[in-house]
Amino acid sequence: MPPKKASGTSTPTTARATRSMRSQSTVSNASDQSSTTTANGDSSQLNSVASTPNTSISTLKLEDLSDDDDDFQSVKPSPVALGKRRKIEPPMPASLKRTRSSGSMQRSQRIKVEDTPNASDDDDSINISQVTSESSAPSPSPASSRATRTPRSRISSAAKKPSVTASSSVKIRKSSPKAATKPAARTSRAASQKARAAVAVQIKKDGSTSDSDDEEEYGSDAELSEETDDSDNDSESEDSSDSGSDSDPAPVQVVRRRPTARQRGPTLTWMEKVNIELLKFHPELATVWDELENKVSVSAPELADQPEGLKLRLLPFQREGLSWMRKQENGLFQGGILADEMGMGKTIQMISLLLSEPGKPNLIVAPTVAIVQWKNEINDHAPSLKVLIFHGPKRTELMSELTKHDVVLTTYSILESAYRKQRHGVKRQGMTVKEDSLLHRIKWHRVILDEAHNIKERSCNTARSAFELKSDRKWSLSGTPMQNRVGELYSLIRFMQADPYGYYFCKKCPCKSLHWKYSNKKDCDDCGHRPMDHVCWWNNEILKPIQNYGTQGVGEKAFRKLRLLLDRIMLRRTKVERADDLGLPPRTMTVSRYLFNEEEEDLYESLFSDTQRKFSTYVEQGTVLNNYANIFELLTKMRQMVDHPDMVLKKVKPGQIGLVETMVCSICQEEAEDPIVSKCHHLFCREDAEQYVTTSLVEAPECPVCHIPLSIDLQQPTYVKDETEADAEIRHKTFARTSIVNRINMDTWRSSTKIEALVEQLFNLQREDRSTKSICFSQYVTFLDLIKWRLEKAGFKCVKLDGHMTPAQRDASIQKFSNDPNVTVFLISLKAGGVALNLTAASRVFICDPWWNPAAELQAMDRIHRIGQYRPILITRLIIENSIESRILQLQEKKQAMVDSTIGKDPAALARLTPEDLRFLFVN
Amino acid sequence: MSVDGEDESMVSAEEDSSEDDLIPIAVPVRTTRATRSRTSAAVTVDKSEGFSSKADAKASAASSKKNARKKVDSSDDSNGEDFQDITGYVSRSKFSHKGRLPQGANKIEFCSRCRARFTVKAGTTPATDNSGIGLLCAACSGGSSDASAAAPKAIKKSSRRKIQKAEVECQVPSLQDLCIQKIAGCIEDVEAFGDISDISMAKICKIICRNRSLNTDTIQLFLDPRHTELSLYDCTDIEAPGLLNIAQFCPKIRSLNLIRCGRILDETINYYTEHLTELCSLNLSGPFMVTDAAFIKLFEKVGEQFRQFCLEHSYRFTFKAVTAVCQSCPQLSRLELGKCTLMDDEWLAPISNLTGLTSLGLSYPKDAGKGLTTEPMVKLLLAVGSGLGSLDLEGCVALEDAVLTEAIRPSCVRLERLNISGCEEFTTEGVAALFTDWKVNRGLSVLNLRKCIMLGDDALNAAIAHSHETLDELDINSLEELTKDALVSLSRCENLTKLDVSWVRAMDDEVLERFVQSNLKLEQVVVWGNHRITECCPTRKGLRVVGREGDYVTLPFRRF
Repeated sequence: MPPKKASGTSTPTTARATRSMRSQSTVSNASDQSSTTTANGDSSQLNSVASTPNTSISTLKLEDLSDDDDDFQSVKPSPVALGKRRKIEPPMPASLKRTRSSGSMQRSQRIKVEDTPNASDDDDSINISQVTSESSAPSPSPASSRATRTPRSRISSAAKKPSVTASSSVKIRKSSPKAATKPAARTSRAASQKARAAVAVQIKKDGSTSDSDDEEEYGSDAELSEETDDSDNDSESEDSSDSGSDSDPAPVQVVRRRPTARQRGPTLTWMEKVNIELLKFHPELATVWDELENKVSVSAPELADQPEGLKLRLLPFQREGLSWMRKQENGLFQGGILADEMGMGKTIQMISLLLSEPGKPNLIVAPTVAIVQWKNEINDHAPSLKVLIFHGPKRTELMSELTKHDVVLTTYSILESAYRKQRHGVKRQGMTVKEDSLLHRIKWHRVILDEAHNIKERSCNTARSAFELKSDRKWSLSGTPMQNRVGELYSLIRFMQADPYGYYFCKKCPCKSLHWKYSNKKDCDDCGHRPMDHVCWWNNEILKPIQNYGTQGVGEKAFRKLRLLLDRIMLRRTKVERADDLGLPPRTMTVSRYLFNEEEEDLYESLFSDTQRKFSTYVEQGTVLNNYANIFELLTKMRQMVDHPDMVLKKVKPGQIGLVETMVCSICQEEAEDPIVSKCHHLFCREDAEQYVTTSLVEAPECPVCHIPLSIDLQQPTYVKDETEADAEIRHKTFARTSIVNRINMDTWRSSTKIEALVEQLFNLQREDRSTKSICFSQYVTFLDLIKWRLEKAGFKCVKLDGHMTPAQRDASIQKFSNDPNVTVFLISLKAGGVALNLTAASRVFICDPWWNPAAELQAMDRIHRIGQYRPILITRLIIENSIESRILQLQEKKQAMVDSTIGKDPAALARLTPEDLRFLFVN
Repeated sequence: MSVDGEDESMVSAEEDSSEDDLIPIAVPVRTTRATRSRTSAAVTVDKSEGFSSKADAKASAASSKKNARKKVDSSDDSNGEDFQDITGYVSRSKFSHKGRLPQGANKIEFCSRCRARFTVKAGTTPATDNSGIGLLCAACSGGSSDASAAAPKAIKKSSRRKIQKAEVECQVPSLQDLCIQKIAGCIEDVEAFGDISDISMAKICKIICRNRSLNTDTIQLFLDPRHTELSLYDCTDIEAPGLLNIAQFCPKIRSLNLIRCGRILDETINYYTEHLTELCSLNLSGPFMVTDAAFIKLFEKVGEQFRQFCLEHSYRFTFKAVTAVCQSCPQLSRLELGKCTLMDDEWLAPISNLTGLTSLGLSYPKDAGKGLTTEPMVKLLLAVGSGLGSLDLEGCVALEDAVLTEAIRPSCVRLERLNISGCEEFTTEGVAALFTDWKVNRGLSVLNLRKCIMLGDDALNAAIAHSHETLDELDINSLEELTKDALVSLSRCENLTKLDVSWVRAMDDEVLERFVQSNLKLEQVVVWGNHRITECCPTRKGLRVVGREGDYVTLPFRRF
């Protein structure tokens, strides 16, 4: 039979495919027609994964496939994944392990064979094997033939085993129209198996060349880079050489292993077993995906009209978004995920949605940093909506007060604490007091989670508190719906209470629930079965397959399912797609490189050699992974040393008492004379404060530090630090927070290269005819303190935002920065202000210290690169060349290259530091 | 120190690092340089010893001069030498605990009385205060007998800061300026100006641009049909109608300068094309929404009379538009294209037809890797170089020495201003070869070598030898390879007014002192990151030292 037959022309066999088989075949069908099918434009990453063309039988495609698999393996050496794989198939050689991963399909095949009572089973299976073996015929390597032979043997052996599931036969009939594509699917299976075999060989090769038993990072990198640089031809030849190289061991293994495979009989993945068990009591689950695909259509973009009462003119794609949201609210899911990229106006789209049905209570949960900004935006753009901020100690306790407003704004922490009080109670005077949560008692019309990745961890209290909210419509807004793992999406789907995607099911009875409730820790509250009998449908259908198989086979199917679902609940547009609509200015990124001066270098070197020695000790003892925390601390130290030596040398250890502390006036930046303290816990010289207050033009001047109205008693007695309090922590809290500036010796303070570089660059931006505002990001709040002190000495007016500030203070600072032309620098700690801020007044970003994860930096930059920005943008990263920072930069580039060269890879690899990465950082 | 030796060390360092890099993923060349050895710096300081002893005499003279000033410090407000009292002497050993500074080099200490840093010259012992522990700077030790008696416990705080005015507001404002500031502050309430001179008008415009209050309403104040020139420095808040008004109200404009005009659209440019019939100079910065088509139309309609065209920050300006400029504007004398993200070698061929150019700027081309390369640039400069008085190649990272030696040296005979900042591939040999015996050129007045990080002493020496008489502004920011010797030779440049020596670590008080004494026209020295320049370094009236880390530049809470 010629190979082309495999691609759709072979005799249609009827009534054969199980559900899983069918979905597989549709994929193959699609990609047979053209490689441009499933792509829909949105959520590029998931999309690319789902449409990975791994079903064609052309050699080229096979090569692609093997690349994918290879990359997947090489980048995912996470112990969890490896461990899991090992758990499933305990003692097997690498080659077989890989072929095994396609077990699900074999299983489906088997079911199909046995379900059809009258068909000639054996003929069919032989037929299949012929197809498969011939499809792989073009590449003559022994590896491929082995790969294809193994499944055949299994299929035939499976045919003899009597195991039937009743439920599956029902669907088999339904699927008959699609049977024509089945052979193609089989071929694809063969193809992927071949690919897998090749990978297995590669991995074995890596293993033999490297010392460690994990996949050697560098080794696979080498291949990776070759593959990305070269054209398809090259990678083809590479692959053939791979299969050639393994020619000697492979056949031997095949001969040895085949009998074992036969003896073991049918192999099912765990997920499939679970699925079969589930179907017994929940037959409706079998058709979920088909129904989703056929009954719920993906709505085509339409332009909604400019909503009345909205002052801002919506951009075309925002109107599309609005009409999509309206449809979605009236559709099956009654909500969804708006996942436009950062800075594309999710807020304004949501406000326009709120405007469409006024008079009903809406709840918006947002990060603390963003709630005031939400309020301002609503007030600016939709003044007809009544807004209430539910936050702070004086928040109302009346339900009627809440429901009176159109929009109630609150934060995740308020939500969480309210839920905690209701659920577990709080200890007051030794008694546990439970308190009903106001937010959870109200039935909202609409609940909106801003920056919804805050609930990505499904079992954390924040997520639970969000799940407990009652509302008709539920929305999640997030620019990065999936930061690290596919599993994070579950929280959003669980929040939407999408049926059945968010539910738990019992394997032993028809019980299904959104909650994991075991009041006595043993039995389900609903059906009384054990926790083990309950299954999270999402985990089983999507998460586990993807975790265990990546983009291959079962995993690929899972990705397809995920895609199906996301197409219907999520809307994502990227800036690149809508560049013309947005009219965003160009964004340039540069790296400014500096060198240590002799003294800094000296100090750094000594720290570095010390660190290096410790690290090599760990390596020698083989305890790198055990000492991960220690190593991370060492790294942090080195990075802080690069910023400024004081950050390491003047660090306060927890509990350290008896510090030499200077009280620094926040006006003159000098040691305070006759210090007094304001209500917001900032300290001033009495003279400075008096001068400041009396010369102020306005009645209530703002605090020079946090920019909320200043409240200070000028006649108060001289502030003396309360030394009687023994607890150092309490003492530190006497001020807003102990700034590092209080600990340095101001008389003999020396600046650092990094700080001076920043000051120079900022200074050069000051011109008499225009002002350029800048944002400086650092991961270390202490470093920001130092910078602020230095900048104010140099005549800059800055504002600072860090995690310790209240929403009012944050908002005051943001307003100050946006509206006061004299304030030119905004210092933000990456964690506190990396998200949800709109700072288009600025047009420059300085990133003071590089972070492992370039994505976090991008997030930060997007604070200014968003709608409303009309100035060209320049992003500068300050790097000390002769330090660890240049290494970090290289690491970032390396990782980015890896990500770019693969599709559907685990993006978490970016944030993770492998032992190889550590070695790269330390071995100089 | 021989250049060859230095090169070797650099090469070996690079080799080492590349051996370490087991990762074959292409790492940009620039990154590899990260591990550049700093041996050269150590050698540098050794060498400078000879000089320091020579300069000793002069230094002591200077210090005595400073003593004199110290005594009358209250009258000298521009460079007041008032310092704070001491709280305690802290050893700086933590900064150099391995003692890596070569023996005999100058050390920097903190004066125990005035808290300022000062340089302890090699071989000398600084004076100590009464307790015998704290060191004193020359200024304090000079009058130590008096000062110890009268050592004030707490000097009044307001007078204890060294105040140096920032560049932003360097002069004492005149009454007129104060009025202008007042007007600018209340610009929202101004309905019309009476008779105000154009100069004042320009000043007001600058201030309100700086205050970010130039918007669709306030722009009306600056539009006058008599005007032939218009400069607006921050057009961010002017919406489309406001920008159209420019052409409506000022049809006679010949020169238009719009900075940060991010809101300008194709329609706006088309409108200008129709109505600004006399336009001959156009300078746009940041018109990122304007497409090729609009520009091409503009050039075809009014390009004939164009003398100047400057464009910055555009990612939609393409090769087609460049061709249109070069074909339709034969009289163009000044062409500056910067930060145009599409700029590459292709653009250079049409530009070489513009033989009338006197000023050419091609800065920050396409991102690393491609952009402008040596060969086409050489061709271009050979074609147009003879007329150029000013050449700006800032940020063209890919250019190599051949541009200097084969293009600029033979062809750019009239060149006065040269900016090659950020061209990191240029080597010491290349720059030295350009300037050595460059007789056809009569000397540069502005030379910018900022961030040409490979340049060493020979490059600077050659440049000084060539144009020491004409040099007016010099920027050698970040040339860390330079040694004290080369810096000292800068004192030959008599006409130098502005100098940027930031990040040249060899720079110290002694060198600055030399400048103070010999470069009498020097007005501004920029010294960011020169960690050996102390607050005690001598200056003179009229010379501003910008960027010392110990300076208090201006009081917080200034109000406009």
